[in-house]
Amino acid sequence: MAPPSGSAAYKKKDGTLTMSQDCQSISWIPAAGGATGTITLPVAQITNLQQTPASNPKVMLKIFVLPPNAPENSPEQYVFNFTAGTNARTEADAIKDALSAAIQAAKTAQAAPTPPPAPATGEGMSTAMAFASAVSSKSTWDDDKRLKGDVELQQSLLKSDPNLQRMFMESLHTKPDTLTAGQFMSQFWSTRIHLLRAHAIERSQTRGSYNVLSTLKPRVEDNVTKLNISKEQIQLIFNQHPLVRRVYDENVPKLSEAQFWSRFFQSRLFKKLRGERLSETDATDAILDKYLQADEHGNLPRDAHVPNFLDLEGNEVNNSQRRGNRPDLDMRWSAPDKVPIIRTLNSLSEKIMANVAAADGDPHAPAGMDEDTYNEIQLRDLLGDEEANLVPLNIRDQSRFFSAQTKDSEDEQNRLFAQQDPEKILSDLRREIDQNLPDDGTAPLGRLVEPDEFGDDEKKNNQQPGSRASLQKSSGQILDAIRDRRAQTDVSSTTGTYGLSSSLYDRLTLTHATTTEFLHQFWQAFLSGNPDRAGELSSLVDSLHRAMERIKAVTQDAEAERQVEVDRRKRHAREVLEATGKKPRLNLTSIQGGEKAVHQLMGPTIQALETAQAKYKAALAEEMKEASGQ
Amino acid sequence: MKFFIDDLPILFPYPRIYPEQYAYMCDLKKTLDAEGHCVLEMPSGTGKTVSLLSLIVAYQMHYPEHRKLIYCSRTMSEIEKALAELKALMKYRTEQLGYTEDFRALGLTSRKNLCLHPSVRREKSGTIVDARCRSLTAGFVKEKKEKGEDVELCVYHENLDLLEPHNLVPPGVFTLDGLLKYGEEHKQCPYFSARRMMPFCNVIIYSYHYLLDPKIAERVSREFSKDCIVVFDEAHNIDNVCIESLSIDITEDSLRKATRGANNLERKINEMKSSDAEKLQNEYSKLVEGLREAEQAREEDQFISNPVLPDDLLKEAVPGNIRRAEHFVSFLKRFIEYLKTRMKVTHTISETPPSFLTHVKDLTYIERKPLRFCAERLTSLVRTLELINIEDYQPLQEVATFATLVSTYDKGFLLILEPFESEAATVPNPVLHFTCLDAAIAIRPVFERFRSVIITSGTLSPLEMYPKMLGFTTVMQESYSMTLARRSFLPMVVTRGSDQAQISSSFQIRNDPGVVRNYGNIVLEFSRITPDGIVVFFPSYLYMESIISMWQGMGILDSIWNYKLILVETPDAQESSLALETYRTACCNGRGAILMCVARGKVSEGIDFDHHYGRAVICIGVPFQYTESRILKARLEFLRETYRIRENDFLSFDAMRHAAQCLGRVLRGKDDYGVMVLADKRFQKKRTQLPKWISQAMLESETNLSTDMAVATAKNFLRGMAQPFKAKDQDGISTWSLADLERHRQKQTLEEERVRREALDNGHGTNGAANGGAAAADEFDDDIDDDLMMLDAQ
Repeated sequence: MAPPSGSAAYKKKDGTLTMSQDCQSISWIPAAGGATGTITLPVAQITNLQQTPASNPKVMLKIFVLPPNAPENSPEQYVFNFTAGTNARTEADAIKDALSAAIQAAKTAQAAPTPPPAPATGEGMSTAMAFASAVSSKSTWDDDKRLKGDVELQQSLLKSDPNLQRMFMESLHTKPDTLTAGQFMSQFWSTRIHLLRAHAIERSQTRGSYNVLSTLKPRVEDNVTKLNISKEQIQLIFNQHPLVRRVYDENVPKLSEAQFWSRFFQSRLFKKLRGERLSETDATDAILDKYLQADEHGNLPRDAHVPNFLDLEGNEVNNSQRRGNRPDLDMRWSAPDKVPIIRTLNSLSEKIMANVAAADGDPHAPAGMDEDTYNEIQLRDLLGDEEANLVPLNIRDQSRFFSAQTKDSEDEQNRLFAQQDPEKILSDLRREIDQNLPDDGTAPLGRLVEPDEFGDDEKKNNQQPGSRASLQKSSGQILDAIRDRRAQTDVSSTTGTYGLSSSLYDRLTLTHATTTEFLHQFWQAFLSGNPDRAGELSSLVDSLHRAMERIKAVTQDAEAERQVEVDRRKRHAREVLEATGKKPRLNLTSIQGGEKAVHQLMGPTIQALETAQAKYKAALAEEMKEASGQ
Repeated sequence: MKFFIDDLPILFPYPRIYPEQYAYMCDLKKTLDAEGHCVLEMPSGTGKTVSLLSLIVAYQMHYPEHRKLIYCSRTMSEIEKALAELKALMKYRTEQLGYTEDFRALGLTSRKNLCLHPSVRREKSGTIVDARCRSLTAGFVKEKKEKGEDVELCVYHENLDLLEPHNLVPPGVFTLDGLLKYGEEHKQCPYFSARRMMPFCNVIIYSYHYLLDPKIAERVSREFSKDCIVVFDEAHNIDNVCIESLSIDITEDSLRKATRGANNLERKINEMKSSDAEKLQNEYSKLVEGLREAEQAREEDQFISNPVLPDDLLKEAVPGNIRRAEHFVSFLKRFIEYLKTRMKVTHTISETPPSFLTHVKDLTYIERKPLRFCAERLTSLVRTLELINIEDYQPLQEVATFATLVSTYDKGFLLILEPFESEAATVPNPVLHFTCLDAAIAIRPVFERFRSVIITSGTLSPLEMYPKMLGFTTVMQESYSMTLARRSFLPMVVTRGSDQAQISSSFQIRNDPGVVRNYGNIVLEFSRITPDGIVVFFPSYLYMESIISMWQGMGILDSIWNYKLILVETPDAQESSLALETYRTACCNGRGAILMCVARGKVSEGIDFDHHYGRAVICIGVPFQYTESRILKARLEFLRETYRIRENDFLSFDAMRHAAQCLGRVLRGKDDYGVMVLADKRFQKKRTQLPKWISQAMLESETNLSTDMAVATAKNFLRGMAQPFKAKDQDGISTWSLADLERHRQKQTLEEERVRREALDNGHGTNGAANGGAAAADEFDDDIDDDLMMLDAQ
């Protein structure tokens, strides 16, 4: 079906009114003058339609258009007068029907967020609008899939977090070849959704706007008043004062940009927007003064529901039969135009906070008090401390994870103690005290500290306090402690890197990070129980192997590095010997680093790798057995 | 927690209690036991309402009398808060007791706030809502409908007739919002539901004027028995409310409209004469019998409340010369014409009601007696004529009310005619003020009728002022101090700017640029150091407007914009509400904001700025009343002559109660904190007039600060407040657990015992003659305790 059209006059010029093919706009093309005078009205911006009644011989269609960012109550109006004589009514009806259908469609479509058509003014969407649309499509950070797929967001996160970036690059380079880059990315990010989400939220948070007119201060240089204004400031002025945008829009081609602003900042309009009272002596401006009458404040939401706790209006009408003398002279209000600043302050603050969710609930929500409102009047400190809302995390059989460490003799001892029955020990102790301590309260101190252990076959341990052996033991302990202390306060370059050179240490941390990453991915895949991921799993096991190899490589390098140091010292000692004939004491154990340090640092990781591989093998064997059994 | 005061078990809906709450409840109970009145000043934000409700509900439920509670508050916001607290209390009681008690509590506010009718509720003015509501709900309208006439009825109101009249809403507590919701769900009128359920409620929460407006109060007395407990909460301003309820202004404009109303009435009477003369005749014969008989229509059909009428007047027949409708209307017209001629005078006149009446009689031969019946007679006529657009007769009603009031009271009232708006004005705009000077007149019936009236607020100092002004005696007067584990609020008096020039809002220097700049600097400096919200109170609208304009010119506002958003209370209540919401949003959001409002204005009543909504409150200047006002001067004279209250004492008392009220807005609970700045050099001498709990917290060294010193002190204070403060830090000091409470009671009992024994010993020791007295005292030791308590209280 061809889109309806009809011959219609606009502003007494003949032309044709046509609906566009996609029903997204309606345009009027003048009969004379070509396309220059064309008016195109997007359907989405049309707020109202009016048509002359059928009884009226004149056929006119009035279209109300509200351009985006224009104040709510000032739609532009276009009146088209249909000129096709007897045919006019049918043409007008056809267009009107098509148009109202299109508007209906556009309105329903708007319920689902569609980006508003770019404003014709070309000033770009205001930040307020951008924010609002971000809010309306709030699922950006709720939707895990979108977060995972948003490469741009990921890049920006990596850029802001160098550690993460290094880990990412390292993992990417060392990933198993069987893993495609895409798979790797999705795996890498799937474990870091929370970081992405936090970053997305962080990025969407913008600094709130401020009252821009109050920050603009002209300064005098060489007897010339100067004022600098940035692009951002202009944009803010347009946002906070739609009127200025309108004035700018309507006048700037005529005036130059600079002219416009210099006139604006000296005009009465500027004073008015700042809320200052106008005086007779203020300079007049032929162009800008025309806009003085325009009302900036008409756009406030008028029928908002205010919670009863704050409802000043409700308080005022609480007693409808109020009597009493009128208030004293100083308690009466002046006319609003006498003190324009007050309304200006409020409307500006309201505009600045317009994008923020209201603290007192949705003003448009139906009446009714919710729990929060009541909570506000509670006395919080009488309620007592809130109980911490913790989720207990139970780890069963923790010893499994640390079984490798129990080789340590100390742990052995601990285990020995752990096996004993505390009750028995206590009763033994009590019995011993009863036996050994005389009733008169005098007791040999030594026996208290190291009581004779009757019947104990470990007689060799039986040392007297103050004996040489125990003295040695205690001095050894003290020296150990001092050494530890010194090691901790040591400020040599290798502190904190456990004797490894910083480049090697960096390599080690990276290796560690990537290994952890692969382990992470492995366990995720392994524990997912998803048979489809078996292939992925085997490739991950490969990368675990390689991780192990990388650790080994680092270990070797570290050992080599240490060897270099050892050689250097030996050489030095030799040189000293040659030069002085004295043999310096060579303390090779004081050289830290090397294989030992790496093992010390990577021990848990290596264990974890081994465990993972063992688990995988066991599971694989099981799987094989089952497969062969079938 | 559950505890006992004497034999009364109290369920308190929190696991802890403030010591002052406990003391407050003990004193309340003593008052109720003694069936007397009391004045109690409880620090702001220490849970006055919840203590009051817990005790009184416990009292109601425990003792067989089940004394009803009439709880009056100032504003709808406060009514709603009290209802919400009561609702939570009853929920807690149900949980603790394991069953739901048979209990009803409802709140009442104007029709405007409770209307559900789709078109009536949209009306902006409360009077129009009232009038339109009556035209849809009056009895005669319904009769007309039943006769088949085409009149509109309100479906929400009609549905009430389908319900059981004593069970329009289920038992329980309804907040105003809750009632609206319930009304919407069940399609029934919330206003009339609440109104008609009043007699069946255990607790009623509404505003002062339902008790203070004499005519409504008269009706109330029929509904409520003498042993009702009446509470006036936030009662620091009660004298002004009393006065307001009996004062009236008449302007030339209202007289013009009144004439129009009288002409309309005349026309209606003629219409009715031709169509339904019988009705008028009926009315006439009823009026012969007396007004009380005439008043048989349902109470909500009442035209407008009428001023108080002495009892004998109601029984008397209406004077013959105004009994006929047409006679009455011409009588009214004559009176209006008289008033019009009085308005033509170009010099100020103030005269007493008797002198006015004499003048009326001399000029128009209008006697006092028919004037007294004016209001009632008009009500009756309007009802007989079945008028619907009642709002047209509002000015006429005002004139009639004025006539009744002026002819009823000889003392305590004054007529002031002001021909010019201000001293400087040249075009006359006359206003006839009929002003009540004696707050006791409106509240007297309340004290006479009810045995226990409780006057309570956060700021009632000096306590003895209220019994004096309102003409009653108390059994208990108490001001509680605030126990604090840390200094949680910082009251300061700033007397000088940073330039050491004195600051004050006194009329001589208030518009001095130096003073204005210094005030601006205080606000600016505090906006720099205070987190979240700051509230600034000005002494009057006029001063606020001028000072804000001057600040704008000086660039001070521009600097404040760097730290906070700025919001201002405006003449339009709705606009102010929106500003308030924006303010709260900015406080929550972290942006921070300053709210500028007026100490006696809309925002200062019933709106709280607790926690982050108000970390600092700045009182710019002492909020004195406009001292040039003739009405105020007349009242001061009256107070001096009648109650021996000196002018300056009253002015200063009045200013300080409003200042204290502003300061108290920023606290709720003891974990809350805030800076309180009193910026005027005159505060330095007046600080003793602040309530005990504020003046005790004010250090001597902080009563004469300059701006920079105050800012440094506040900075320190705020830093201290930012340190973690856990509930357990104040356990046992400023909050009590049940165990602490028990310990306190034991100590108290021991102490009482000791005091009694000492008194006894002393009696024995000093002379033998006292023995008899002591022995007697022994028998009535409870009385002695009470006496001792009273001594403590004094």
